[in-house]
Amino acid sequence: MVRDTDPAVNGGRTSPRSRLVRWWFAPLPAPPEALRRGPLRPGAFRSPLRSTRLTTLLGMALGVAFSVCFLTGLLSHLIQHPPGWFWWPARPVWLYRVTQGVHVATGLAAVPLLGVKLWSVYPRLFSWPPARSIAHAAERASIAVLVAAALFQLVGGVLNISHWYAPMPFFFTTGHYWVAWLTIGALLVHLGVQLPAIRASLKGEVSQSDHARAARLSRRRLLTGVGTAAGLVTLTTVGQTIRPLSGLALLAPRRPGDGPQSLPVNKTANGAGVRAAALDPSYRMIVAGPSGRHSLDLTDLNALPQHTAELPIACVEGWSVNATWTGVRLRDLAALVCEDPERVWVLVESLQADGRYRATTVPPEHARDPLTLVALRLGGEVLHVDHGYPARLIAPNRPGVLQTKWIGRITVLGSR
Amino acid sequence: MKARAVLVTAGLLIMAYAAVGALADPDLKPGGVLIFLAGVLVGHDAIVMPIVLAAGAVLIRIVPQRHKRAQRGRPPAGRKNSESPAKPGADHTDR
Repeated sequence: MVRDTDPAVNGGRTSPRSRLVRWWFAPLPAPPEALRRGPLRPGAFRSPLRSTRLTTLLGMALGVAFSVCFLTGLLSHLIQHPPGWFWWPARPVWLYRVTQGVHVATGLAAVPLLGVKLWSVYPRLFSWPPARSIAHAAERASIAVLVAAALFQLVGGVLNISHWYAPMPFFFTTGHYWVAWLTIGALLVHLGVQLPAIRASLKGEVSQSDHARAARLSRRRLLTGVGTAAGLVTLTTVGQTIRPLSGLALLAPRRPGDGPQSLPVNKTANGAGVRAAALDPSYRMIVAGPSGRHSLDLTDLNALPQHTAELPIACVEGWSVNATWTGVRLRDLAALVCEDPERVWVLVESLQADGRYRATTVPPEHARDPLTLVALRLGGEVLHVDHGYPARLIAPNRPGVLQTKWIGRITVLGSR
Repeated sequence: MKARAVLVTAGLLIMAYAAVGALADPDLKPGGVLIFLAGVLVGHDAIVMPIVLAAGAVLIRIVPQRHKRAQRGRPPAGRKNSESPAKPGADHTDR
């Protein structure tokens, strides 16, 4: 927002840039005063708790929360849709559960913060005149984009972890991703526009009158209340990934002990339309690669060397649970059909006929990891059909949606 | 001024990237996203916030005076606009 107050004059004629700047900041005619009714009246909002400083402090907290959410969300997106330059390690095994747990916990904590922040600036929605200039109108439009995008992200995120997709007329994951960029962009614009006000309020430019001091004390209580609300939301949801706090996870849609074999399930066999194929006694897993093709039934799979790994299943929705998985190493299966299983990419496909997550590509660092299993058992028991019976992928440090269930085919793609 | 220009320019470029990316993504229905964006904005500003403010106004009426801690900060009677910040002109935050 560069304001040119001294337009260049060339031979008595203003330059096009100067004319544009003048037009941009020229005052617009005020609407008739008769329209100034209801919330548009002066003094319509009377809470003394609102102030620039309160708004700034809430804005800073929200800025941190949204930045953390954006970065952790971007990381999750890159892991699921890796571009050529991206690399994601197999160790430490808990890294993704932490980054995604932080993503969801921070997003939930931002809900009360955003609510109070929008309350603190709500009277400005009715500022008079509605637009002082084209520049002012553009600034207000950018704030509308920011507010809409921020609400979109938080409301959509809460709907997603609640598995309630009916109100969202778009594919959540893609919408959440692109609107995240929109939110961060609008946030930077807002920060740039409001920088002088933010600096002034952080310098503590406040009056010391009794009224102001009393209002400030009340604002402190309000901020304490907001912080407490954000803390409570975190405390009552973070138990979905931190087991010792699971008893407090009253607001968490998933808890560690939920589901068959004490493990939550997002997609059931019925929901995936795969139950009959998964329970078919004639089940065979196809393992194919450059040097051959095998068709293995469950007896064949159980006859291969079995290994046990303690690995978390970490969902993109923020919950994660440690479990004990037993099965065949993916690299041992790859070794059946290729000469160098240490450097290959592996395509793992489900028995599902369709679905966005019916197949996943496992990069070499995960495919060769001794903890990456085609699991046949969970906690010593045969896999429940909702956990992927007869066989599922479990690999360290990967999102749950990439841990393909009901495996029907494994294809070694070779090294790339 | 330079910092502000950098922030605003970077923000506008990122917003443009988001718009172009969303329009080019075959997995996304931009119309659905726009409907939801408008829906949450209108739902918040025209429904949720008026209900919250009305509930606050009702609470103020029914809560006994001695419990109204937040009201201590009210300006003296007769002052017309208690929305004014502690320092005149300091409340620039807009939306």
